[in-house]
Amino acid sequence: MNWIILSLLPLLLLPCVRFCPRSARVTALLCGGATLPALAVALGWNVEVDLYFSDGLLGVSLGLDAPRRMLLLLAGTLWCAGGVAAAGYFREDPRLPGFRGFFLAAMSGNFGLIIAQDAASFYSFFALMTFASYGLVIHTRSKAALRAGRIYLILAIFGELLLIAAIYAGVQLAGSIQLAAISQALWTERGGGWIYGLALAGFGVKVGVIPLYLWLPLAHPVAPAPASAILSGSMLKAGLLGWLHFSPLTHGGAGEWAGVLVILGLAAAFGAVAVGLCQTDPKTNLAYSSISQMGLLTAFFGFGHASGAPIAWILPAIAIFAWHHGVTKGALFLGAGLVPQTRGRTRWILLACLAFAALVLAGAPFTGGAAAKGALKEAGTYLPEAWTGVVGTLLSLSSAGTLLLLGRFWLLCRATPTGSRVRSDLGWQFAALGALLVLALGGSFLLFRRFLPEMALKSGLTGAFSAAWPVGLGLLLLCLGMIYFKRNADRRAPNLPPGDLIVFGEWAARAFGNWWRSRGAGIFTRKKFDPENFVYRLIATGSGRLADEGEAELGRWNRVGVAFFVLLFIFIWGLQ
Amino acid sequence: MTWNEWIPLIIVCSSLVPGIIIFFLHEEAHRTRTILNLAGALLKLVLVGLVYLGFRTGEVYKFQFQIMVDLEFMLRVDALALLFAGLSSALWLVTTIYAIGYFEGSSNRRRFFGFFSVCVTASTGIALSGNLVTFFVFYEFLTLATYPLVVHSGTLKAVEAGRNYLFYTIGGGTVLFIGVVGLTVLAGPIDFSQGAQLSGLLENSAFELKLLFYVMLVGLAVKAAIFPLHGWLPIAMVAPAPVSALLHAVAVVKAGAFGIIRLVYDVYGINLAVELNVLWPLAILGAFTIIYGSVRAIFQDDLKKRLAFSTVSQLSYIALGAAVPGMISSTGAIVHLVHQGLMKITLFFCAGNIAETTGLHKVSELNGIGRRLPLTMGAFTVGALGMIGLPPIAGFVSKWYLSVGALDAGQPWIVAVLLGSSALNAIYFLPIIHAAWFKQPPAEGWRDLRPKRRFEAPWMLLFPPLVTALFSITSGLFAAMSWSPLSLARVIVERVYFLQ
Repeated sequence: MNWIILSLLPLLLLPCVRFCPRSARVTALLCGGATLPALAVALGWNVEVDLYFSDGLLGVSLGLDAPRRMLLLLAGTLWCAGGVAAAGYFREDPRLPGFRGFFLAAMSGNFGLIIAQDAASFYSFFALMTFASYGLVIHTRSKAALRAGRIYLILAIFGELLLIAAIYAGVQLAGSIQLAAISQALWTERGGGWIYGLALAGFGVKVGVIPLYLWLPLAHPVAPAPASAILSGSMLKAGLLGWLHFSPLTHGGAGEWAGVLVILGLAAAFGAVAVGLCQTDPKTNLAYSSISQMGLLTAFFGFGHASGAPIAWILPAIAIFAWHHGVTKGALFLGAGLVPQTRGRTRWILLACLAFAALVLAGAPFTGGAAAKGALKEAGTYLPEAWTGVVGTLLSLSSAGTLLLLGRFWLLCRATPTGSRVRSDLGWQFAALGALLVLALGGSFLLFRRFLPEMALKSGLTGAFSAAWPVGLGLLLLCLGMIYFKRNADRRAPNLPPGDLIVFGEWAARAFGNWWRSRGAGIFTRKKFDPENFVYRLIATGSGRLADEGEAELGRWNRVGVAFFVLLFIFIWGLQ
Repeated sequence: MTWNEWIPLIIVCSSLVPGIIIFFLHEEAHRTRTILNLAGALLKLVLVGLVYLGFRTGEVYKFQFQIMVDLEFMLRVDALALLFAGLSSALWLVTTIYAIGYFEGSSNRRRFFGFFSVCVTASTGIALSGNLVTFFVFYEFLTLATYPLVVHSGTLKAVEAGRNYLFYTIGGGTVLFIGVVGLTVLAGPIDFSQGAQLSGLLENSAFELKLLFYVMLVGLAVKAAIFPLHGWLPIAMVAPAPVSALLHAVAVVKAGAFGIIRLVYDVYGINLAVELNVLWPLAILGAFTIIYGSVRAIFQDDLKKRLAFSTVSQLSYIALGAAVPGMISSTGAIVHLVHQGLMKITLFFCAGNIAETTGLHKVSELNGIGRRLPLTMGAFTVGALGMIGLPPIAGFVSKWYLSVGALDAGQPWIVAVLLGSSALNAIYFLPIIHAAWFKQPPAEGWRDLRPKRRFEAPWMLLFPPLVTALFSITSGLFAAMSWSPLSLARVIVERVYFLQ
């Protein structure tokens, strides 16, 4: 029963959004309180028994295993924090009921997809989350939000189609709708590799893999801060969970896609830093940081295919890193949303919080971030000899890049002017931010102790130095950059449009649209183009004319004679 | 004659008798007419329900009447018949309620409700007919009964649409007649016996069997609106909303699709059809129609016309599923018969509500309409998302079975077609939903069009789409339940494949 409560409670609360009072307390109770069953289950409330509900959909099966429990914990934490922050953020917003509705629906989808164990309900919850998030993205209805929403929707539908194709094929191959059976079949039957490829691309839209990340830098900045905290912290991880469901990791199969994943992942990990540095909106900057971090995770996921590392290591390492990134990024987004609402001393407290969160995300020593990166590094030692060092170096360099990117973010935040309408009730938002920061600092250590006990000590203490120098490097680069731009005040950092390559996509779409309006549509709108009446015209008018003409022709006396003989001939021939 | 023999006849007559009485009633006798209509609809629904219960326990329901030697009128209940009869009787009830609300105060209601009842008689008759001749009789009966409904408004456009409609359907009927006669000459009177009578002819007259299959297919394809014989459907949408709803969801187009399913599974039988290798043209035509209908729908600004092209596309899912041999695909085809009906009738009801309460017919005028008609647009959203194939709405289950079935049969191109259609459906449905819910309503216009009705449509127009939308959701959400359309479709398919 607890499975049903945790996934469906937010949906059951939907009718309330219209009729509840609009006070901040009610929002916190509604949006934050709906996460409590999920948090309780994630923390161990009655999770032993799986649920089979054979009447629902095509046969529903719900349950949890260790990595998914960690994701559920992350999702529950972030949605709870988001709900509490929303209480303060939307104090005077007329669209609050709509926000609450989409928020709850997306939350239900996110929780449900984590506990789903059969393909049909997994996809149902996944789609629910995807489409309900559209309402979150376009919340402000500004031009930028509608544009971001459109691009989000196009990419999301593209991803859903690939994903459902992978599910169809997987179900057909396995002869079962259980996700476990599907991933088993993918790596024992022929043709599984292609299906996995489809799934990688389908979920890749959510993860933000090159080239499917284009919606991310557009959607995150325009969504309200509590929503973008969740989008970035939890929903990207839903794609990761999808990968894990289909991946060969749990079945020891060789991954044909390992190389692709590693290359795309590393490209994103470092490329997104470069593009992100050229952004001027702090939230866009954060979005690129998310792409970069997810790229790191993608690369590690790819390494996992190729190495002989035991699954008992890889999955917790991935889950811990996901937790670390989710919680920290959530805090950063909430903070970014708070920046225009604060001034004076509050602003400086906030900036201190953000600086701290940035250090955690970059993996500064003695923080959860260092532990998470340590987990990745440690799992990397199972790679072939030559790779071990490379992985370590890449991780360190990525830490430096993260710090550089977030340094720029911090500077942008500091320069952001206070909005014209400063809201007074910051308490809810600061409470959520503070909770996430505490979890970012300490949560990972607790998770370590629970899931990877023998590694906790190693990363915590001996990893201190190896975690310190990348952060130092990042700080150094940041200072050099600042000095350079201070000395050469006439030079500006290059400025790339948010969503980089999407600009070309939109240009192509516009060009096609123009062509279509001027030429193409003419094909369909011309009077003569009427395929619906084709048969009608052909037979009704054509046959009439033919019959008339034929009749007239036969009316001539000389033709009658010929016809007579033809008929006679046919009959005689037929008699023989 | 026992009760079990009479009951199929009573089911058919439960709408015929009210229909005939209505013709003799006075035009102003609203109450009598309403009572007659609803009583007939309820009686039919209850009887079908009773038969369903009896059928599950193994009862046999069969009515036979010898017209002349070798020509028998036969009504018989099998699983497929029950599915279609259940669909038409349930949707008839809701459409009757809708029609009563829709035509409130308009003229010529006697004519309308008379033919309306006769039309449902024909469609129940098609469902229950036990042999090819009976099927054909009701099939043609349906053509004639629907004509007065199409031209009901009497405008020039409606009369033209009616002429076009008759041209196509009578033509199709003629072709079908040739096929029926040909098959009867070849093999004697044809019962729906899964090809038992025809399989013996395979050696000597394979060519004739093939030819007759195609001839009958062409005849049925007109009503099933398969390209290029679909032309009547988008034109016939000038009919009043309840008629379009009935036409597009239950009666005419479903008669065609149901006929194709009967033809493949019960006249020829799936084994014979595979052996003759006659299914691939149907698959290709069906796939093409799916894409074609969706593409055409994108360019329609008239809401009902857009829905009509969507019907063209969705109907071919059924044809395509029937054309792919294999249990899963067949299940998908048969269950889509019901699912498409539920979702499309919802959409047409909603289109009717929008037109009735606000006077809007165009997609481009629907900005912010969700604020004026929130419940109607809620039902519309359910129907539209279901058409796209989003879970947990019924269309998701249909697509699931059709796609997995296609992969099972080794034809992955069909999955590409279905997914392409999903994308196209999204292209022509999502902008409507976005405009209705998220765009600002125009400053003036429908807001103060009819100040008397402040909020929503009258309940008689609102209740039917809400019910059908609810059914669209539940038949997807509880698809695995033993009462669901999916479970019934599974039973049918098991009989088709194992009880040869």
